[in-house]
Amino acid sequence: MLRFIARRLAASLPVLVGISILSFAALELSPGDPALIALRALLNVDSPPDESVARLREEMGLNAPLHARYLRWVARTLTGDLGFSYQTRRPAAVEIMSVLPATALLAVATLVLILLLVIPCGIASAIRKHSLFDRTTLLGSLLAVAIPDFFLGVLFILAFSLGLGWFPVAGYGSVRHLVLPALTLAAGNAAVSVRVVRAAMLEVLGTEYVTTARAKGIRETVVVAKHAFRNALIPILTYVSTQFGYLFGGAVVVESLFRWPGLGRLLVDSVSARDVMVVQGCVLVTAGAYVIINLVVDALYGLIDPRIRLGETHAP
Amino acid sequence: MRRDRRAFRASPGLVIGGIGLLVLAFAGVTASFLAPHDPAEQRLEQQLRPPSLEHPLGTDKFGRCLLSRLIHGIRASVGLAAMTTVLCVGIGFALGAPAAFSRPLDNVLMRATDCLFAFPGIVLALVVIGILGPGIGSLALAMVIPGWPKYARLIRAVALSLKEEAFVESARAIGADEWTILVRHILPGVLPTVLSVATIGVGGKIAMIAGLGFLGLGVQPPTPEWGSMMQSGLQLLRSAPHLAVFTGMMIVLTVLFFTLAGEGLQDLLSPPRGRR
Repeated sequence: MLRFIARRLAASLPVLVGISILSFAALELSPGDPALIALRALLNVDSPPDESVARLREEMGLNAPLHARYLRWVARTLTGDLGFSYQTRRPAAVEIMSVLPATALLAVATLVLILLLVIPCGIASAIRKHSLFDRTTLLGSLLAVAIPDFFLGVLFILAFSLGLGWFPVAGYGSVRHLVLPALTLAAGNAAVSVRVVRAAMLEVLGTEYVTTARAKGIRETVVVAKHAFRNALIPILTYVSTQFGYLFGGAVVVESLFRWPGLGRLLVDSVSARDVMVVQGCVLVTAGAYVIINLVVDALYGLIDPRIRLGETHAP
Repeated sequence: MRRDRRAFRASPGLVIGGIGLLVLAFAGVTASFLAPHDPAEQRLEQQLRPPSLEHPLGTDKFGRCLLSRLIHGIRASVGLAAMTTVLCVGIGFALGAPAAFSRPLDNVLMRATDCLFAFPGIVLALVVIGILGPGIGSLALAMVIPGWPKYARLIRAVALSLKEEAFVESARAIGADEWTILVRHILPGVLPTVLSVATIGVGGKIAMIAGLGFLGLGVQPPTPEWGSMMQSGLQLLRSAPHLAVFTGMMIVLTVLFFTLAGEGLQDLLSPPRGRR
């Protein structure tokens, strides 16, 4: 099992290098002289003296060739130094760490809601294919896909906050603040995931070993839960984990709408203020979370399906 | 003929979506004639009116006609989404199809797309806008950079299976060069699959353009654009909910038309095996 994980870790190395190049490029391509911007913020003046700017440029290594700047940036990033925010003058890493708990909370709550919604509905749809329930589920998923997350959020606010007064409009701090943003994110994701669950179950239910299990007289609930669902889990996990990965930093619009102090909102605020180092840090953490989550899920594949661990089949 | 009719009956979504898209395209092109009012005309004595005969969907906080602004907004939203989708497909073909024929190129393409897939699309879009600043050009680039990898992967996969087909082998046997094979044989073979995926994809881009407009980082006011109209509607949700609700419904209907048309095309162009 350890060897399997090590192999997977090595396989994701090129992606990590690519991500670092992209993040570094974002920083390099941003307009403005970082030394000048830094001095403006530090000294609180509009036009710091030219010789100070030149000295800081040298100190920051901005005059070095591109590859040297990249390596220096990688070394600094690996020690957790992401530069600092021009807006708050605090280290970018501190800014990002301070929003991670809120994002993690929202992501996990959303994931739980997605699974609670999607697994029962997807299985029921697959078992009773073409039934009224199946058709309602598919129609609902079609509609939910077409509704952009911010409009769904607005509708929820209209109905549950302004209308019924059950939940606060926006903010952070209690479980009641969590419900609407998590529900908004979950509904949009569930719309697609429910089709994935349904398709995966339909495929497994059509296989010969399911027919064999039925022929042996095993109870239908056992056939569905044990023989079918466990084998359908792999494609379901693949899809849901990708979506879960995207919730770290990708829930930009919903976090902004509900003023949820997470990574997505920090990213939007930093982009609006062109706070380059925070933008770059957010991007790095977003992609890093995606890679880590996929690694964890890869390890889970090995647990669910020994064939993958032993290298007989490749994980999707 | 009868087979066509049966296909249409099997997919009412294609008919609904197709008609919806035609109406949208017509309204977008003739917006200046069709819209009852000038979308920029401010009449402050008429601000925040609910729907009436003169303003079928009401007015916004500057007294501008919401319906006229929604109709004019088709140009920014649908126009930009369709244009950038075409660009994404073009890049996807230029990189994906040759990758099916060249191992090294394939490795580079797969790793590069792996990296891009690690970022949620909207995050890449925000980075582009963060670097270039808001504007139409940066918005277009912000759509294309996260958009093309999906098409490159799709076209590569279809091209890989087409490569093994007899008609490609025979073309090569009679001496066709790689370029001829790509343009004359792979391109037409890839198109049906890409067409349906891209139609659905336009819907996704419309939602993303609106999302960026909603964040204040997309098409800038005073150009009428659905996302930024949604944002100003949100601020008046208590006193004038019609602004946010009608704007949202316009986006939903448009995305729905594209999804229905795309899924309908999918059914039409690749019938399930048993029926063929």
